Amino acid sequence: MYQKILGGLLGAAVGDAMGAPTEGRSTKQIIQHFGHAVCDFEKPPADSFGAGNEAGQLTDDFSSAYYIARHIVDHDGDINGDIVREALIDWSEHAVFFDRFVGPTTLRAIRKFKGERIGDSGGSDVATRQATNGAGMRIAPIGLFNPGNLDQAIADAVTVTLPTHNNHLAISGACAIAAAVSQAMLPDADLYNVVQAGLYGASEGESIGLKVGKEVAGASVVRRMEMAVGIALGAGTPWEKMIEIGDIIGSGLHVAEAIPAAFGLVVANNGDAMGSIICSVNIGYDTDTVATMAGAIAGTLQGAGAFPSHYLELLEERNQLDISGLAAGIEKIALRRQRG
Amino acid sequence: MHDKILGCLLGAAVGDAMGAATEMRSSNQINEYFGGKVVDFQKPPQDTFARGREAGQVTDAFSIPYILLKHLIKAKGKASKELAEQALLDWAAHEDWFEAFAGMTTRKMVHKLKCGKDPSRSKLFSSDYFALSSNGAATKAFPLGLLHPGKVDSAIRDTIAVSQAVHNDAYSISGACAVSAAVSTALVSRSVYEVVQAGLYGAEMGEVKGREVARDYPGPSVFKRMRMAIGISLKARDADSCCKELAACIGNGPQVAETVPVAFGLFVANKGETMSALFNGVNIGNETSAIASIIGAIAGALNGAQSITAEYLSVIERQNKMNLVQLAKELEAII
Repeated sequence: MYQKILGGLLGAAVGDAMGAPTEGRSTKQIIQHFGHAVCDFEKPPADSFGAGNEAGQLTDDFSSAYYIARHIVDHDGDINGDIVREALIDWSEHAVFFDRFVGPTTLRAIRKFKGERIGDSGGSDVATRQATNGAGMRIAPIGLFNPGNLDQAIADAVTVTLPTHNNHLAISGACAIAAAVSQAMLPDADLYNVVQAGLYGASEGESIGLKVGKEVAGASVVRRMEMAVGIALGAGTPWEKMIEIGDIIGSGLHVAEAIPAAFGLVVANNGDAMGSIICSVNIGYDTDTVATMAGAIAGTLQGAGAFPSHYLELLEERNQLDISGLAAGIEKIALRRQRG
Repeated sequence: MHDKILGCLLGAAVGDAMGAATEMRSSNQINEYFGGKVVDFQKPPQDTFARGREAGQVTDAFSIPYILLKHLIKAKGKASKELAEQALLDWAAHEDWFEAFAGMTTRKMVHKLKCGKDPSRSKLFSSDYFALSSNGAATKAFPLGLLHPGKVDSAIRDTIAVSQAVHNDAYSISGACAVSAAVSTALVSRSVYEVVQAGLYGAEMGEVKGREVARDYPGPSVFKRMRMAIGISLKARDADSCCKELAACIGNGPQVAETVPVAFGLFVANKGETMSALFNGVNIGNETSAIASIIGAIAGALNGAQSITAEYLSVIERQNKMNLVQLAKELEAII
């Protein structure tokens, strides 16, 4: 189990750090700038969000996931809104992860947690733009805490998502990732049942989200996931499918782009963790977020052995995070939860 | 020709004004709030961009192309990037429009034009990161179609020039060219099929030429999403189920690759019929005013002003102090 948990964390971290330099570019621009497809850690270019970071440094995606998981472990496995808020405030005080990277929806939420008055520009005028992928990027550890227990993973994902992304589409996206990772934790997990779990999570998350969160206008995460998986199951190489997923599904901030794209790319790569991450890194737009989620799903499915052996130490050292320590902490809680 | 030109103008205005009330809500939320489908002008609720306005008043979706058209007529139809910049500054001087409606990309550009600075090319993108390619260029593209009845390539050329003033990227241009090419064809055609084919041609050419002259932003392809939306429409049981399917799969948001394909999808699902297609656009949710305005422009150009509810012309003219009949005449004189 430890290998799977470490694989999930490592997949998310590798995806985030490898995607940081390509974020905001199109596939063509990535190849133009770097001279090749990006398939290792690179230094983010001067015109990107990650400018000033070194190769291997993380952004908001994995770092916010790390802090939430860390706080849950420190509270001995309790998962509730207060712990999420406390974790996000703690995370927001680490400028290296937060200041340049925090997304629009999370920033608004954290300012509220800290008691700031948010200028109310007339009610719901930003609501449709709060169905963003931030809900999905930090949710994978919730699947790790709940091996094979999809419904608990979904319930916990809702709890973790509500404080920042209080709408049914963002909740649908978060539950898709959490459920897929939860399924991937099982010894007999395979690509088929992981994708089925993801679709179940998206669908359950949508109906729960309509009850506990705000309904928001926008494309359906479930339907776009089905479309992305359909493209991935068609003919062609993983790279060709990546182009098609980028053109049809999109890989931007909207939750119904990034999350379906991540699932499509995992399927297009037959569940291979590094292949899924590399396609995510080169699909363009919000590459680090797509790669964080695809990496978490495929990394959990394959385990830590799927990654080059020096990656763990490199990421821990460059970001001053104890990823293996966190994996051990999660394992203790996951085993206890599994025993019931 | 007069009836078709007026139909395009009026369709775009009616779609915008009717959609202003349903903007941002989901289809369910529209039903709940208004107690059913919206099929007439309504006073916009307090929680939308158009709050405080009256039923029948237009938003940015129609007012920006309206001012652009006035500038185009004054210049005897000679479109250029500079003319589009002047028209935008002129529009921004109307404070009641600018403060309420200036979109994500437009607001930034007006600021830059006022400071006399060109947007920096050293940055990866100059739009809002949520929708790098937004629907702003597409909603103001129908005047370029009106300028060139049946001459699709001229419409595309002028659309690219005008789009470059604000939405200088391949997908914005692609969506805008889809709309202007469809309007250009609709003015001389009676065929839904020909109009849709022209739209697809515009989207494809716009993307190709856009990549040569403008920025290349990552994002879904307007052309591929249009083909998908049209496919969904052709297979749908009826227009209402098609509307749901398009909202779920294509999306109804401010991204150009959602707004424009959905508008074409609803146009096809309603066999090109102006009012039923426009009502679908008003009730599909999210970016309803832009979606319904584009549908209104294309279907209005195809079917003429007589296809639009009789009293709407006077409502639009009265509520917005606009003379669309006069504008149509002036336009007809220069084409």
